[in-house]
Amino acid sequence: MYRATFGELPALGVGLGFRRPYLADIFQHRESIDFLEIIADHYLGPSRKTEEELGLLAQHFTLLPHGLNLSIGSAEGIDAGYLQKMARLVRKIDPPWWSEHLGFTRAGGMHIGQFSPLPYTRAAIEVVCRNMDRVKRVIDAPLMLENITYMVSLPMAEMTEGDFLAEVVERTGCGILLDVTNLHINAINHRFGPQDYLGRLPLERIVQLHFAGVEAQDGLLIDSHAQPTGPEIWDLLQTVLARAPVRGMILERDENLPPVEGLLDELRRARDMGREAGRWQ
Amino acid sequence: MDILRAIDNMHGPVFLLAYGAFVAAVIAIVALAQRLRDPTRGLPPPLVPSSPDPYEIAFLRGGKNEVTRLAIFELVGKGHLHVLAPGKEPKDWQVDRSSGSLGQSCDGTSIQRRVFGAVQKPTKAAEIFSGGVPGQLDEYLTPYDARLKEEQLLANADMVARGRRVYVGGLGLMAAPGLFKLATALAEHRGNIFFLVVMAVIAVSVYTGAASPPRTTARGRAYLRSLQLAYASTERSKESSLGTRESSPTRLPEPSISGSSSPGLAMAAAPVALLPAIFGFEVLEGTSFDSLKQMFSQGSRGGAGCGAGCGGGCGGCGGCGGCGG
Repeated sequence: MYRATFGELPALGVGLGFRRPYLADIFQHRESIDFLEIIADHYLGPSRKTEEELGLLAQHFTLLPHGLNLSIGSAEGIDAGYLQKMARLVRKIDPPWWSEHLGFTRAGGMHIGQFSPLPYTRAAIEVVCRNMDRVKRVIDAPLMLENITYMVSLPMAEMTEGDFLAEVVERTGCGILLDVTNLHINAINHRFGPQDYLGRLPLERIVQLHFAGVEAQDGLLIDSHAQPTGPEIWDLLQTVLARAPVRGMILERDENLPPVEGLLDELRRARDMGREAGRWQ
Repeated sequence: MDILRAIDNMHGPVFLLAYGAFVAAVIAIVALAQRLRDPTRGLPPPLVPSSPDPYEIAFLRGGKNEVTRLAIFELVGKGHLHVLAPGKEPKDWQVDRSSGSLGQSCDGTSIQRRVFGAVQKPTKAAEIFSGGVPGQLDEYLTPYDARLKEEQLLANADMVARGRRVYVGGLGLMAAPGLFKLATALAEHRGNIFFLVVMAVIAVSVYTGAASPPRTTARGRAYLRSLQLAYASTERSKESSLGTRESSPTRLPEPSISGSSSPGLAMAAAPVALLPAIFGFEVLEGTSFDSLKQMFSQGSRGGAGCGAGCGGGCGGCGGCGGCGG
């Protein structure tokens, strides 16, 4: 279903992962922010205040919902209640696409509380495909799956992470939200080349990018989303933009919040990169 | 005639109860009618602008009185006026000049200059309104009035006229039984009309507050709500830009508002005056401008009053209550 629509997805440009402390700033600098990515889980409940906030944001920006708890890799299946709430949200804001993580957050009926990586096996691919069939019956907007970071490489892998992601999107018809920072972190922590990883992916499926700064802790890189974007990330972004028909990029910043001007500088730089690569005007 | 006879024959306390219920119903129906006949209901509000004009927002929210209050806030914040508190009662507090002139730093266009010019000596809040200071700003507010009416955020002349007809009609309907009862009581030389008169006064006051044609349209109220949502995080962190009650009024830099709530963030380019413009003087509570908030919440009770100052009735001021705060 999605294969036929990738070429028709709009080029959105460069936007910001919406965080409430920046609410007034995004209105004051609306012309510098092309679109917003919202944490879908913040808007799934019936609170009047969040409904009003969602309405206000939707009036001013294209919104892309980014889910946290779909748990597309759960062997026990998708939570029906969560899926229905997500469907309602997607119908309400009618985004060009939405996104989730290629991993799982639930197992044995319990919430793990963080994204856990899937084993890169054929059995895991079957689980994801089965869950995606259910999702597609309820939500017809295109879904982009994001690569997550992982501290431990699970044993008994039958393929590389890149091959796993490639086969999942091929079988499910999803697109890719390539988190360039996560790719860099995994490449350093697990000693593989990001170019090799990119070489495995169907580049035409890379619709959206995430980028953020990295932090080092105990000899490993972590995706804290608490630092400015570093030079190695900018280099990797340039490589991806040159090769993939990216439609949108989102800067993520969750902690150690700087003055908004710092974020706007990063958005400007990313926008210029995308323009030079011919991704948007 | 049967109904008139029934009213005439009704025992006093019974009449008062029935009449009270009738008045309450008329007030509710007319107030609802005023809202329902608003042609802007359902229209989406305008987008939140990148550089909102605090004076336009204040004018939308509370008319010329609110603009006057905002100008005083900025004059105090810039050090051109200061608050004198000779006693404990805020109604006796005054604003006075800190310097003889505004110099170069003040906004030369005017609203602040005109308000500053009106404060020739220590002046109480009530005196500012009763002395006609808001009326002196009319020439500066006319462009705001025109634009806001064009955007359908304020009721235009046609809407106001229709609203007044509904108001007058409802007032007549509400008053008729009471006036008839009063007339028959006087004709029969009955003197027990005290409670009827008191009820009439209260009824007219409540009716005027609730059923006057709103000055702000539904679209205007939705726009104000959008602004309040957009600046909600700024309102929550108001102490970072407005100081705390324990300190002297924070000298307002230019430009100056923090759009973000995290500490240590640089100020983005938006005036601090946006906070009282969007949220009203109540937002100054607990900040270094708390004295202004207290002063102006008392001010109107001795002054011109809501109806005269707001130019549309307290209900139409969008937050008039009380006109001084």
